[in-house]
Amino acid sequence: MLHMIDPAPDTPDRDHYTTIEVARMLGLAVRSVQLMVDRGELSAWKTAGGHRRISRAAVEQWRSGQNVTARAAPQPDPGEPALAATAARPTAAASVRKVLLIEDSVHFQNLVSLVVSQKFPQVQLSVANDGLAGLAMYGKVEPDVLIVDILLPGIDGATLITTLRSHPQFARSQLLVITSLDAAQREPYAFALQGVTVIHKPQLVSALPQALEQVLRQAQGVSAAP
Amino acid sequence: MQLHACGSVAQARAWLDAHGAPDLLLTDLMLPDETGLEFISALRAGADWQQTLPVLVMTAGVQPESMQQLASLNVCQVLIKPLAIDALRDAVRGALQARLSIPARTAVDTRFGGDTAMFETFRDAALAQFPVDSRQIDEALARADAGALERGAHSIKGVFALLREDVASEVARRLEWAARERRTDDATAIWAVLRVWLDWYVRSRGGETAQWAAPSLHLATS
Repeated sequence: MLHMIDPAPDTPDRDHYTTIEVARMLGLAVRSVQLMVDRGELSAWKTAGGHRRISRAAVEQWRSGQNVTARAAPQPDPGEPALAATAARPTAAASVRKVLLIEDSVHFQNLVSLVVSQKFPQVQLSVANDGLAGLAMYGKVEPDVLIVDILLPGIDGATLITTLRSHPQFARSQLLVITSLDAAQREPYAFALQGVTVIHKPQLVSALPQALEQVLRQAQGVSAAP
Repeated sequence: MQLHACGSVAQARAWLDAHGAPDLLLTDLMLPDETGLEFISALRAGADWQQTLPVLVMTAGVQPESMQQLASLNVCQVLIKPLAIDALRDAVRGALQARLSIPARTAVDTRFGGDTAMFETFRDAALAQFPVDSRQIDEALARADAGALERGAHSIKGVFALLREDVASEVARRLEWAARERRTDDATAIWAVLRVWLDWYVRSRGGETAQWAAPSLHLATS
């Protein structure tokens, strides 16, 4: 589940929207919205080219039927019947793991949320668009895992990592770095990347699940320690 | 993936009329009202999407002449029942991928671990985001914000690399580089080229719509 704390920057003013627009408006993963459409929870149609189109009325209806806590409710797991989500929520909440992604590219926000919602249904993903918003959200979210892009507007990822490391409360979080930079381009940031798993973005789909699995386990170890 | 099951050709027709193109049609040949062959023949004589719809046939047995007919109707594969789950899964995966352009198929295999659905979700989101990216790069150039230009180009480079549109990714890399070195004139020229690629990608739905040929426009300078 994707939990967007930053409000969507601009809500397009039209009678119908694309899946991605609705995902941003509702603060959900694109895949979740697609599944909601496929399950009939959001009424929609497909264009001749196969794109889903969702009416404004459907979006508003869905919004009005949800309270703030229910925003994270739609389970992206297609294997689970929708009604089970309601009944299972209180117990599921105990095992919810929190991941904060700091990434300015909407494309890679989408990709990470796709991978996370598919492979880690128990993870609640929050997204910050830049380093400053990321720092602000870090304290609010208290994530088990922080995923950071290196090239960010404002504070770059390496500086951000160094800043966070100087705070004692950061010890509870595990860190993953994602980047399109190749090994040579990462050289200037080496000071911050020592001992950190760095995922090259072209390999993100295959590399992220294993890396995230590992750091989630380590994070569990940290929080379970006396 | 969502499966919709129909017990007869009439039901299948009704479903197609109501919902339009599915991603794949999987059909038996022996059906209660019409034969699968008649059904597929009628589809191939229909609308554009019906002519190109990937079709897989499952049957207990098939005569050699029917086999030829199926081949001429552009059926992806004929699976003989009883069939192994693996064979069915491979056939479905292959048929879904066959619809994709060559870069898209390569992307599914080399970037998305064979997950066609995830590739398509990502690509569709990218198609929706590219016009926004273009606007932001225009604005970055207009206010001479080299940092924003560099990050915008960097993001597009990464996306095209994922989609395996390698030439487009290279064009974006050059824009990123020009922005980093503050070569404004070069950046403006390279952006004009990258923009053609972005527009082409959006118009052709990721290179799938044949009437939009890929840009032949390349960069003269390195």
